Amino acid sequence: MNLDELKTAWTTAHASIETLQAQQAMLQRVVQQQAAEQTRTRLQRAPMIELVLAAIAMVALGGYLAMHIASMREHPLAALPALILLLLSAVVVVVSIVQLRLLARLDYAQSLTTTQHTLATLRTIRVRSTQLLLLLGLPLWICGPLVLGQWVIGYNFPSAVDRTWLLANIVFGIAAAAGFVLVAQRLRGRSPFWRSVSELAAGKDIDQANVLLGELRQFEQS
Amino acid sequence: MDSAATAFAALLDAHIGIVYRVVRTYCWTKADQQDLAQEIQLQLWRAFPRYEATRSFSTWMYRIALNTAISWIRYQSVRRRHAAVGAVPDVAAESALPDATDALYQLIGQLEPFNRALVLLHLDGLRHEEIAEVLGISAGNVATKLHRLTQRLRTAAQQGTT
Repeated sequence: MNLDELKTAWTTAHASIETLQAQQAMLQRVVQQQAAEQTRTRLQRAPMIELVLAAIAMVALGGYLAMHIASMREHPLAALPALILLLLSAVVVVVSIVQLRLLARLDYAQSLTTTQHTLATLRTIRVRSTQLLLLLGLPLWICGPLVLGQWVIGYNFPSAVDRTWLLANIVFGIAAAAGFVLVAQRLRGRSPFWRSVSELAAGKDIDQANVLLGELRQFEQS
Repeated sequence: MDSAATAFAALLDAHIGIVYRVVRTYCWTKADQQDLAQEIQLQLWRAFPRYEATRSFSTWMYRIALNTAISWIRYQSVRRRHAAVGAVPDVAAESALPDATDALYQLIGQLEPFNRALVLLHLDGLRHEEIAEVLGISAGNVATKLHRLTQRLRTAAQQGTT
């Protein structure tokens, strides 16, 4: 069998089936049109939420730093937790904007290679940013309570605690992050949540995106 | 329905076979086929405001349908991996098509997703230039790939009949 014979068989086989399919599709369409107008894609939702939350955090932390600027001049170390959180929020804002810009450019009416390339890039950025936040967020967890403590109670915790205590908490954060990944690997067979965490840490989705990019490269070469 | 919706419905009716053939090329079970058909129509409707009437509707539709299908099968594979779905559906049992058509789809189904798209477009009678436009490769590359795929499909068909 060659492609021309296959083509003849293909045309004959589909002539009778298409009428039936057209009728079925007509029934579904009205419902889908209404749904399409209301739905945001699953790809857009996460970066939008992250952007809003990180922007709120940045404004709040900026206000906090401005409010405590006088005491922070006396104890520069006291500004460190808030600055770290501000930096993390800024990273989230930048990464979210990059994702949303790529999404805005994403058009399924573009050629297959262009669209699939953008999708693979998006997937890679998404996984890498989550991994980065997980890796940095857990070791630096102590910054949150320190800033919140000073904000709510008004007590300057960062200047009150010594460096050994801070270091011990950062080490604890690193150990907790490593432990979390280890537990996820052990329990990956028990629930979809642990499986997701384990695969996120292992970068399985990035492997998939790389496979897609490899297939694209191979396909684009003659 | 407003005028855009009416125009969309008319164009979709005239080209609904494209959705059907793309769905059959990338999915094996009825449930998956219905899901993908819905997703393709949804993407078509979303993209319709940007469609330029001076350009070929079928080429535009192929691009969206194939992009949606390839993204959908990848998303489904991740979703199923996370949900730890074990059982693979019995394709033959769920098929509602004649044996010969099923055999054709199974033959094409052995190819990689991008090559599947290429063969589908060729079988649907698109010119090399049109195929190149949908896929984003050169027309020369299309000809070379089709020649290679012919050899592969011939070998696969011979192995299937022996």
